[in-house]
Amino acid sequence: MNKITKIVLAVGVVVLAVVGGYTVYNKQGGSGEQGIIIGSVLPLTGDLAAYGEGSRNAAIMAIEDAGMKERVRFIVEDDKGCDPVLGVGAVQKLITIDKVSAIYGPLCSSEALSVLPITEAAGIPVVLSGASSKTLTGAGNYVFRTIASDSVRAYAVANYAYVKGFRKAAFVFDNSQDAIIQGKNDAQETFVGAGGESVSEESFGGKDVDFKAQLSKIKSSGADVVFVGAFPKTVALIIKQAREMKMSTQFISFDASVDVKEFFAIGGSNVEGVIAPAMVKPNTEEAKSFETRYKARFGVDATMYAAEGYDAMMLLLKAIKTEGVRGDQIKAGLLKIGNNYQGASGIITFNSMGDVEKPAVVKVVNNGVFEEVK
Amino acid sequence: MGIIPQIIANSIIAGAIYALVALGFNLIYRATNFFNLAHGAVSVVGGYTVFGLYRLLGLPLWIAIICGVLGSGLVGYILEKILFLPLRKRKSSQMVLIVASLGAFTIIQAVIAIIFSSQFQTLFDSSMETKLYQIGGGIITQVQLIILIAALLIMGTLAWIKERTMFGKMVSAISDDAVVARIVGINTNKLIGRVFFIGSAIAGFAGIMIGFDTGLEPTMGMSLLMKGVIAAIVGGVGNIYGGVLGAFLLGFAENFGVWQVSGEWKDAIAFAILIFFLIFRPKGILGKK
Repeated sequence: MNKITKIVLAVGVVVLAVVGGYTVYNKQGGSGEQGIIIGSVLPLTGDLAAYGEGSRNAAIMAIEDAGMKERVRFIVEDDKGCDPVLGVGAVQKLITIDKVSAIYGPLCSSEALSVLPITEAAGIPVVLSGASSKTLTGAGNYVFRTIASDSVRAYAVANYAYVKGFRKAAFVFDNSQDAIIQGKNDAQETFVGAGGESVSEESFGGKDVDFKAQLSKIKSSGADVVFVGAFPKTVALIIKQAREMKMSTQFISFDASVDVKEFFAIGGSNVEGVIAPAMVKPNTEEAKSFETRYKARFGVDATMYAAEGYDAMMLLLKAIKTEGVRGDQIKAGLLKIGNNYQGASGIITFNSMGDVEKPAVVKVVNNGVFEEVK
Repeated sequence: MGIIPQIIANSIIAGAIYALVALGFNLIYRATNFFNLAHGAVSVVGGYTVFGLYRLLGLPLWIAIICGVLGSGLVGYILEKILFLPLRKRKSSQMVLIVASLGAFTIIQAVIAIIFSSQFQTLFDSSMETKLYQIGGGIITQVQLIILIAALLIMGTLAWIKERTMFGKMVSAISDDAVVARIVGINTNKLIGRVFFIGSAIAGFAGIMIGFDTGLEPTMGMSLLMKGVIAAIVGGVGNIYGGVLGAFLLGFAENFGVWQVSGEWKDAIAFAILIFFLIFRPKGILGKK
């Protein structure tokens, strides 16, 4: 190849790239005029795929139920198990290239906290249905969530443990997740506040699979109850390894997320008797109708956070319908409609910080299913 | 009962797992003198082969395990034939080989994630009771006991092959000087191919055992590889006994470290040991023999 051919080729490649890039950019950005574009970041693969899938389905169902299937373009990006780095990249793409009006998700608190600076700067409202860390309360002007802060659930199990006569608690938790760290603090404060004692505190990184060293320490600490917080598969592994070390101590998950198939697939008979908090399933027409229609539409039972997701998307669509697609309009709409709203996940009333208050219950594993304790 | 017997048991279990990874890694290093980073992914191949055959297709466990071990061996063999051998023939530098092996690692990991999804999977049946053994105050499960015995058996077998068989002596000859080995009539490429098969098969066995002990994830290869490499460097790269010694040392350091300090320091402790050895004793405890 001589020099001139090389130059011609190089110029050709640059021109093609610029023209191609511009066309693609224009095409994606341009459709904003006609329809409503809502972006989402969810864990469609990886450890939390079951929850990601359920949240996506719930959102799709809400769009269909609102009769806005033709008008709304719903773009879902995968964060592969709540990876904050992927989440930030996806949100940037959703805002700058897809020009979304609002964002549904993320599902995990750490990821939500890392994408908020971007959405806040752009004035894009975010509706959360799974991110439940109390750090998110008041974390932005455009943040709304249909799930109550974790604190209420951590309080519930910690109080329950004390009432049941446990006095010496050990805490073992994943220190890479904000919601878990906050949940641990809440459970610990409640338990100690009630008169219990915190005798051991052990943490680990998010990717760990061997917890025998931490468990050995807890075993020798004389704890009569162990509070644990991590991804469901990790909680199951911790309890399995504890039982393999002949630890028969009561285990309590202070996070609600463990009620999922893989927890039982890994934990098996080891997780019998494990206690965890849960959101109260409201005994209302809205809630029952959501569950039946979800099952009919997708062929599976609605996952945890699905009802919250359905409500989040429905409120968002109603806000857009009544007020408009600009960030401040959506915010005004959400505050207006999110007032004593009868949703599938219960009554939703956003306070000035975009939070809701909902009660919690305590559940225990009995024959491979979580059942409410009396 | 004190806490120390259990921590010793935990250390031995961790050490045995690292030893299984380090054994295959060291064997391949011995013959080729390069860090085969694909080794971590090859190990995961073994675990997922058993997962596919045993858990998904319902084949008998022993058939699945044999297929998993042979499958990993085969993947290692193929990598050598289509990737490393052509590169060596072209006299590529160590750096090129390492980068190529990292590429192979990434591809294998991605393919596993595409076929089996990146969800966490287990090989054990969670409804079955786990058999527990009490040894000197520490408790150990049946799978962990098998891992420990297997690691020692494989080490013994490899040592025997190295000292007592023609194959072992030829591998030592290549390790000392590949050119001279070729001059005296050793078919080095054929031999290296076999070494890759054996080393990768051992890695596959490690992956299967980990699948039974804790579980499988497509991305678990990197941390396995790292622990295996640290064990190899600490004990003496290319040295069969060295890898095992380094593995147990690492297992003890990690578990006693977590006991005394805190859980999140585990990896930091492992890599601090690596750095210490790289600076003060780069040949490892035993050196290359």
